[in-house]
Amino acid sequence: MNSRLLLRTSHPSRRGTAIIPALLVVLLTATLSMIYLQVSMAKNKEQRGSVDAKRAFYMAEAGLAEAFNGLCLGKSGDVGTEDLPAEFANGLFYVTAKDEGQGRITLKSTGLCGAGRATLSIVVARQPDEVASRGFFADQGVTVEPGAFIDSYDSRNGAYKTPTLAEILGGSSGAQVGCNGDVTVQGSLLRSTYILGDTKPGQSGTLFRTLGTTITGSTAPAASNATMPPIVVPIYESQGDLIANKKDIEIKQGEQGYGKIDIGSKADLKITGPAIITADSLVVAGRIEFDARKGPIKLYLRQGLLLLPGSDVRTTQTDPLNLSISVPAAGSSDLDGDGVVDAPVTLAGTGKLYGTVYAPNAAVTLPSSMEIFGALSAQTLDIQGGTKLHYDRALSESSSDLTGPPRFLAWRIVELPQVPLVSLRFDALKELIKQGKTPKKARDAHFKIGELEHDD
Amino acid sequence: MRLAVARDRSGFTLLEMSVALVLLVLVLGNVYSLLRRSSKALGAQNSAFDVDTQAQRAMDHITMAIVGASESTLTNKSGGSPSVAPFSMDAMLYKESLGVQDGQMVSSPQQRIEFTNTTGEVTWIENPGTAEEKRVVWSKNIPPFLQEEIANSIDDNHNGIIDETGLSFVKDGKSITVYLTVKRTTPDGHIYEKKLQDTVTCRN
Repeated sequence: MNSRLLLRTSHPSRRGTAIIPALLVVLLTATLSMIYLQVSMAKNKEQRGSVDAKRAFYMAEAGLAEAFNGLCLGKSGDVGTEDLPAEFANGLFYVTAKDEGQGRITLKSTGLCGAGRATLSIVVARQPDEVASRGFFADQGVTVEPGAFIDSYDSRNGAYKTPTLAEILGGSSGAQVGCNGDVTVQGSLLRSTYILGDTKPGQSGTLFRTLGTTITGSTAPAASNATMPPIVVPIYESQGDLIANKKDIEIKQGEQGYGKIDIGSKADLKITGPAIITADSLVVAGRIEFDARKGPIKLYLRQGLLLLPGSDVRTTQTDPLNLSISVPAAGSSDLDGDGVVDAPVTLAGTGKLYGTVYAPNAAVTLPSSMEIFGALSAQTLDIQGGTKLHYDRALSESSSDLTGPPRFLAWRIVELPQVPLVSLRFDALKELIKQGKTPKKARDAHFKIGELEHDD
Repeated sequence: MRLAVARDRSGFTLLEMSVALVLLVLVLGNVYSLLRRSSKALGAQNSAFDVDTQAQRAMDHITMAIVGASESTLTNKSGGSPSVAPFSMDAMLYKESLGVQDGQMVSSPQQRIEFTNTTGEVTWIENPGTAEEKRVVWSKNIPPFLQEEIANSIDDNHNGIIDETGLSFVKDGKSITVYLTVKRTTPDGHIYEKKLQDTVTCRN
């Protein structure tokens, strides 16, 4: 049998050629898929960035709300810091509070969420303090002795300027002298008394005035009697007595409690704001300086204030809103330990005091050696001859005493601060955790007044 | 028996070639069709996305400007205070608060957000009409009228305002509702349109 078996085999060089077009198709499809994936991812990233930006905006809003709440509770308004912001939901925020003077505070809140960042700012003003806005006021009687001079100015328009004779005769006004009872204004031909503004006795009170008195404003009785609200003294742990006979001492910013503060005739005491100080008493024979350039000073003296004759009072700024002294004491006690009982408030020192004094249960005498720029309210008030008092009209609109929630003034979007955490383009919360830092919850990240120092 | 091995003379038959070609054409045809459809879908998606993004960005610009504006400074194009509510307008002048500077509360220069019908642009202008005037175009492709609205003195889209333009503001108390339509026509004739509405309140 002549049979032929034809066995056809491919040439070795042509084997596997079908895989080439198949691979090309697969490659093309893969490339297209990659392009589509890239486009989708880019869109997704853009959308996520937009969502993060919105979340950061609302995070910053939450920061402002938290800080505002802190101000209402007597905190500084600072929440968290730029290095360690407060944690809120899935993001972070920190708020800085800046005292702008005149009772105004700027809160700047920066929110961080994912890659989103936003910074918002609001300006708030402390609510008007009804007590300070009354000017020189007493609950049970005001006596103005011959030669006293009471006028007004507005610290928002600059420092006090003594009115000219033309201004006085022209009816300069704005001063506030008032009482829930009677007001007695005494003068004489040789020693005239000037009140350049209103002098208002109580609703059923009477104004008694003699010759030689000039009152340029209203003398009509008040429509209703004013209340003298009780003083609520904050409770801080006492650091004991602070006694200085010769050396100079300083109370730095912050919230601090003391027993007695006694400054001898050869010693100086400097109190730096922002500060809230509570003490049993403050007795000054030497010099006391209130430095409120960086923030307001609030002084609560449970038993009394005694500025002895010869003591020197200085304030390094001229905004009365930045110093308030509250004395709730009613009864007399021996404040300086000399065996003689002292009144709850004695202002026998010399110098210029820019601030407000509130002593609702004390009889206060204002001697001519002390010039007060601001306001003072007491149970009774005796303004001695030659005393100069200048009511700050700015007190009628705001005050360093928080009596209610601050008033909102302005809101705006501001530029992002140039700090490392904000400059990151990824989740700052994850970065902090990676650094081993644990941010505090927003409610625990508040700062007390004076606890945090700002560069500006 | 002889065993013959085909070597150099071996090749594809015509039938094999024909089948291979047909299969290749089918595969390539499908791939091309797939590519074309993908490309079209991608293009359409991109266009829609772009229009959405553009509209959203413009709306964010506008609403943030209004949120920061002082309500008492809001006026319409002719400078009149929009006291009657609701009050519709296609341009709005305002000032915003800049906070406290050197102890004083400071306001910004006057600013204006307006829709220009001829160019289809939404423009933000600072110090309008002065030598220091500064202009920024916030969005383009704004149609003369809001979506579903035509010039017929009838409220076609039932939003309470008649013949409103592609950008319209309606002021009601401290609240301002912003209506915005962005419309884009692609070279192949497809129309992409996005309508947004947002109500914000002046914070100042």
